[in-house]
Amino acid sequence: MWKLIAFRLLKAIPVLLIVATLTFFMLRLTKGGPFDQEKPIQDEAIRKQLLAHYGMDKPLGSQYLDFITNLAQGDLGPSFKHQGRQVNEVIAEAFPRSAELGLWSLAVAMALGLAAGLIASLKKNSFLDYCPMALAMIGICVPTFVMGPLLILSFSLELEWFNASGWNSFKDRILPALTLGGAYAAYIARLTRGGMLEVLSQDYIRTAHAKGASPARVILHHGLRGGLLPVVAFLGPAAAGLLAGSFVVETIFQIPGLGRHFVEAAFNRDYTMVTGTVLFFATLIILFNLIVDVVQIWLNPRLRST
Amino acid sequence: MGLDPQIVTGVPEHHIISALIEGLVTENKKNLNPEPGTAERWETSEDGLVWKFHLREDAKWSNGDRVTATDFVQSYQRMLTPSLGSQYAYMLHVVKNAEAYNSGKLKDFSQVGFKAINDKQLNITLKAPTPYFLSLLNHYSWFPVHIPSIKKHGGIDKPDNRWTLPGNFVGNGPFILDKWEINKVIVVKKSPTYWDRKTVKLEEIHFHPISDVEVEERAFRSGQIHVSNTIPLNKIEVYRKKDAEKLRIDTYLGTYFYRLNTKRKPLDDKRVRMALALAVDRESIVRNIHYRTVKEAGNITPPGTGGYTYQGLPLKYDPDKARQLLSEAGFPGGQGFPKLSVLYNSSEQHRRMAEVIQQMWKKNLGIEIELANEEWKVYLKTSQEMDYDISRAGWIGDYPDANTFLDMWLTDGGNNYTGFSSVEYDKLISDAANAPSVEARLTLFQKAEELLMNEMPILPIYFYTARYLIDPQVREWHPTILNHHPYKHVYLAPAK
Amino acid sequence: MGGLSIIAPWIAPYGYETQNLELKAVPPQLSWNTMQAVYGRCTLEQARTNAEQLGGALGKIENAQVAALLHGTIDERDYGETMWVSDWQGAGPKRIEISSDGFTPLDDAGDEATFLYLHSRAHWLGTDELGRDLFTRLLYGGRVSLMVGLCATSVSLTIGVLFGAVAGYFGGRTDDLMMRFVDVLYALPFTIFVILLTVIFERNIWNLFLAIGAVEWLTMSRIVRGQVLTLRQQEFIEAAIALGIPRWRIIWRHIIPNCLGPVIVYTTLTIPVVMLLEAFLSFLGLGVQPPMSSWGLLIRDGSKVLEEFPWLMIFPGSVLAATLFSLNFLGDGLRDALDVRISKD
Repeated sequence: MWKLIAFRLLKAIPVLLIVATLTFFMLRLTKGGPFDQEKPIQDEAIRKQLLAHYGMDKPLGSQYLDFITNLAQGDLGPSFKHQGRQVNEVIAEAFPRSAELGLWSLAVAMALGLAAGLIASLKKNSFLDYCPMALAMIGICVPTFVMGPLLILSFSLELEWFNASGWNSFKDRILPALTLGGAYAAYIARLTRGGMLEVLSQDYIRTAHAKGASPARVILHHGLRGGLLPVVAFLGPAAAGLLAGSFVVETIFQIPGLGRHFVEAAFNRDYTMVTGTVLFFATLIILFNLIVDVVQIWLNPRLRST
Repeated sequence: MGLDPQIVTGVPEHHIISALIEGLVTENKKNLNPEPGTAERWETSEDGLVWKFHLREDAKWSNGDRVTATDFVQSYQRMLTPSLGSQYAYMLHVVKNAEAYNSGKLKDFSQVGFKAINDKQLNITLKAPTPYFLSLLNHYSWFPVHIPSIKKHGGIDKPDNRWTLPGNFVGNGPFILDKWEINKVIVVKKSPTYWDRKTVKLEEIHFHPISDVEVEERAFRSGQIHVSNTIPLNKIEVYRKKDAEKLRIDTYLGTYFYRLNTKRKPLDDKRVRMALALAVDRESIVRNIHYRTVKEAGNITPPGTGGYTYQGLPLKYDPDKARQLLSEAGFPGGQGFPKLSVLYNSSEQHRRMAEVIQQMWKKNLGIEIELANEEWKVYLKTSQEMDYDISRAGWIGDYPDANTFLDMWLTDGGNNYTGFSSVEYDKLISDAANAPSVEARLTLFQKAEELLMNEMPILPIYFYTARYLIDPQVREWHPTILNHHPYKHVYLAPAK
Repeated sequence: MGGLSIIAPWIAPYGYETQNLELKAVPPQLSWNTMQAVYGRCTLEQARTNAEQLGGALGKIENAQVAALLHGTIDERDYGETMWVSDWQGAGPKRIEISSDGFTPLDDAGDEATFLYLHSRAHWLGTDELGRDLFTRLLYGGRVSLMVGLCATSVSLTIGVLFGAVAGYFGGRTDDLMMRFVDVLYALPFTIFVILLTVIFERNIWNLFLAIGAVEWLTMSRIVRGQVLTLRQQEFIEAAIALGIPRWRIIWRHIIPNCLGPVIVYTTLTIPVVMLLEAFLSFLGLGVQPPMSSWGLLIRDGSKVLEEFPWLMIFPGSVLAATLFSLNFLGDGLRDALDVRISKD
């Protein structure tokens, strides 16, 4: 097991390198650069100077070499847009906020989603199945950019229980976590129900029942192990995405998190910022997919042999 | 987003920087006329070329140093240093030899028209009389910067200098930088060293960078912000009915227009361009899309810009004449008219405008137009490379003078992008720059704009207004043409 | 199979929409059922004033005539045109002629100006902020959204299932390599990718599928892989291997059918995501160009006017929800029909 983890972490390096390279060239291929603006720089000399500051006057090949060299030293460079700031600093400032929101949302999503999915699968085709599943469908259909404003309008502006925007007190965490968590809860509920139904019809569950194991033990010990596999596979990238921040939710609730930097950096063509956030996200993805693989092995002991 | 006045280029930045740094002059809170700032008085030579500014003795940087004439000269030297690559450096090009130094042709800064006579006196020599010179001084490109701090935190010509971060920032304005969290808040506090600190009433100002207009409106409604930057269009009627006193619509120095690519067929035909312009019902646009919050534009320069109002025949909605012109150009009833496309940057407002104009052209001229939206930076590139037929555009004046709207249509005008080129026009504008009197200058502008409106390389649609929400507690927040609101006068008092 | 009948209503008005092309160009009309027209002889100016006294907005009067005429604002060409209006109590309808000095009632007309309610059967679901019929836009938008939903989802389904099944079945180094590839794709900046596509290729709907297909199969492949890893250890697969059945046949006949459950569930979850993603991509310039619309775009626009014009949010939202419910039933039905285990019983 430990060997597997160590190997996977080692393999992360080439993965990150490929991601960095692809991102680097995708950015350069994209129309519009960091210095393109409405009133463009008229003077060619000034433009050249500006490019030179960021090492962008060199041929693409040597720019790439510089980039990789700096990357190897953990230096993501200065942000183009946020003058005077290093990409490392910006990420360090924004990530804890997104991560906190992500954890809260994940908690909401898991609690609601797993409970709803389990109940629905156990009481298949009853009211307790239809009701949570209908809610889940609505949760899926109502995107966060609708849910967020709806929650703000009712709980902040009508009832005045929460702030309409901002990220200062604990209370500011509640609405965004519900918005973001709610969307994921709906997924988890549907996947849990689907996975559980699949497993509960399997022969070994019937065998366990026949052997006289208590229903609770059958469900928790045997059922969940197989039934949660799809949820776990889904949760890997989902958790990485949640921790890295959601652009929509962060915009709606005015949260200064990483999710906004992702999208805004792309729009600003803030090259260093884009590569920085992408590599950061890639690390999260690799980490969480690794965790998923470990959990999958744990859930399914037969996989341990491989 | 940055706070270095010699590097930033945006309008929002101005709002913050103007709280932190003060130029030679400041603005009157009501009409933005120049008032004594760091300079307590100034005089100008007879020919209008040499300006002498006398700095006040109690003008201080926030670290306690005195603001001297040398500070200004060094600031302008940095601004013009080619290796800084400052994008607004051209604002200083009215000064003698500034352009030459900026482009690196001139190495010796002492030949540029800035001279510190002593600590208190700064002389500026212009290359030509510039009637709007004093209003230029309120643009942040003319603000002084604290050179020792800049040197300490990265060097003169490093755009990623860290001197603008809280703790490092040294300014001479009514407020000092206290906190700056990206995407969250910028907090400025009342400065204890500002010369006119008695006037300053606010203890702190919090600037919230909110990117979404709906989010901003909700924050305003729940009392989290006192003044908003803008208001969603669909909320205008709501506020008019319920909270009219909170809604402000101020004249603003900007024009919304469409560029027509005069290098492409059939737009190279003046009659086609004119037909397109005449077939747009501006009145309907202003009423239905903008809820009468903007003014129809029949020309490019907003009325009253630096004392100038276009007197020529206003562009009217005249579908009959438009159809007639179109058929004269060889497209009777729109037949045979190629499928042109309107380029705009992704935004709901621009999309709506394009959809409406598309319908107007279809109905009035019988021509089919295609819409093409592009992401902002792609759109900029496409427009600037002139790879479009018709392209949405807007222009916000840098300073309140007609020149800022008219000199971009020069043949080599940096922001022309329409292919429009007229020797006569070029001559009128350059004559205006050297006009003997203010009246003669304005007459030349009139002629130039009339010529422009006859050629119609652009299709004016409406004049911008600043539309925003304001809490009635906010006092001394006056409507001004540049949407500047000198913060040192602003205060909060319970609503009446 | 009950699912199909439920989505049938959504298929039916589909063909219907092409006959309503004219309705697409209904011009500015700001509100839904409060459209007022002036009945009785009066000038536009008088009508405006009257409307304002009653608390109405002045745009509405002009918009009402426009709605009936299906053109832009009134000009000389519209003189002599007539339209039908009825008053708000339902009396009427009466015919009104538009002339150079306003509206002239044609039938039993009184001279005083009375406010009328314009029965606009053309706008069952109201109109949008540019006065376009929402119902028509929903129908047209449905074409785009359903196409994107189905095509992009099938792309992601096919790639995701095959990729996941192969990776899971072969395991070991193959699996490792394939999953690292997935990691790379997960991490690439989607916004930049889309902008790149808009620049490199012509804007058309196939690029939209490409962009969506490129990202949406990733999670699917991970889910399938997880399932396959478990399945491979089961006795019947080992039996199949022992019998010498070719690998591809095993994957196709035994592995894939056995992980259909989660696949179907996840597919039904992907469809709404894809439809909403389309709106974002169109915003970036990939995909549909206005004035054409899609459900995703309508919802996106509607979400901005939630308070003022709620119907612009509610109807597109409901249509999307109803479609998903139907697809969900379809999915459940499909699973029951295809599930190898249940058919065994």
